[in-house]
Amino acid sequence: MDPFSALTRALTESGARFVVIGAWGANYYAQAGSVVFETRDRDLFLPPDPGNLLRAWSACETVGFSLWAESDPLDIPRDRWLAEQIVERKALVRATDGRGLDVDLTLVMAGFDFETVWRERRTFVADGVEVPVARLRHIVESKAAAGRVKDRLFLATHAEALRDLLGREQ
Amino acid sequence: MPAPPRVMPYNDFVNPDDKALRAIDAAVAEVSRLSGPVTLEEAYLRAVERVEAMPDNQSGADKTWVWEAIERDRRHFARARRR
Repeated sequence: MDPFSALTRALTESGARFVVIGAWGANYYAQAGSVVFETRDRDLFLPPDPGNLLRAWSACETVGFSLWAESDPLDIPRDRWLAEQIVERKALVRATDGRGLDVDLTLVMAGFDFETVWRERRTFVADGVEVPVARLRHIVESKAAAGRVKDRLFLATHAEALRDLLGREQ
Repeated sequence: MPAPPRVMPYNDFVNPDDKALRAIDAAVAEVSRLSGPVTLEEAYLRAVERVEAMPDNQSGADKTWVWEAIERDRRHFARARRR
């Protein structure tokens, strides 16, 4: 099983709530022969809930991922107080397997609150593991709201890919 | 006289020198010049909703093939060497 599947399975088994967002999330909607997006990191959107964050951290460590805050290892002990500080600051924690797979545990999705995204999520299966994924519409609207250079590039490429895909189907 | 056809920079991408990198830099520079809020066109949003509505994009769909395709691409390009 690939490390990302192992991680998502561990998260689900821990009871942590999360949804895959960003360009990686958009890949789940790819059709055969259409464009998929290579991205350096993968984004998981989590609710602003310290208890949920603790479950997520523990799941990451269980499958061998180390946790980082910016360029430093996440403080120890990884307890409720620390989780509350992270939630209060809406800080990003990165889980890495040390072999090139980086997974961002984010509490922020531009333009959206967690419950809206969670309520309308799709649950796909990859490698035998159920993966909660944000609606494609939420992903692209969030990219537009963020408006960074990489988001604009994504939207331009994605729009062209959909035009090609739907044009071929007609 | 009709306008000349739009030429896509395909040859830039396949040329085995650094033109590919320059083409990517040019695309990034063009987007970087844009500022202000991003407005999504109605046609694009309709296309997104059509894709979401496809039978194989409903909950429970098996997407393992997507990751297998990405892994195949990665292995292919990892083996690529400049002649």
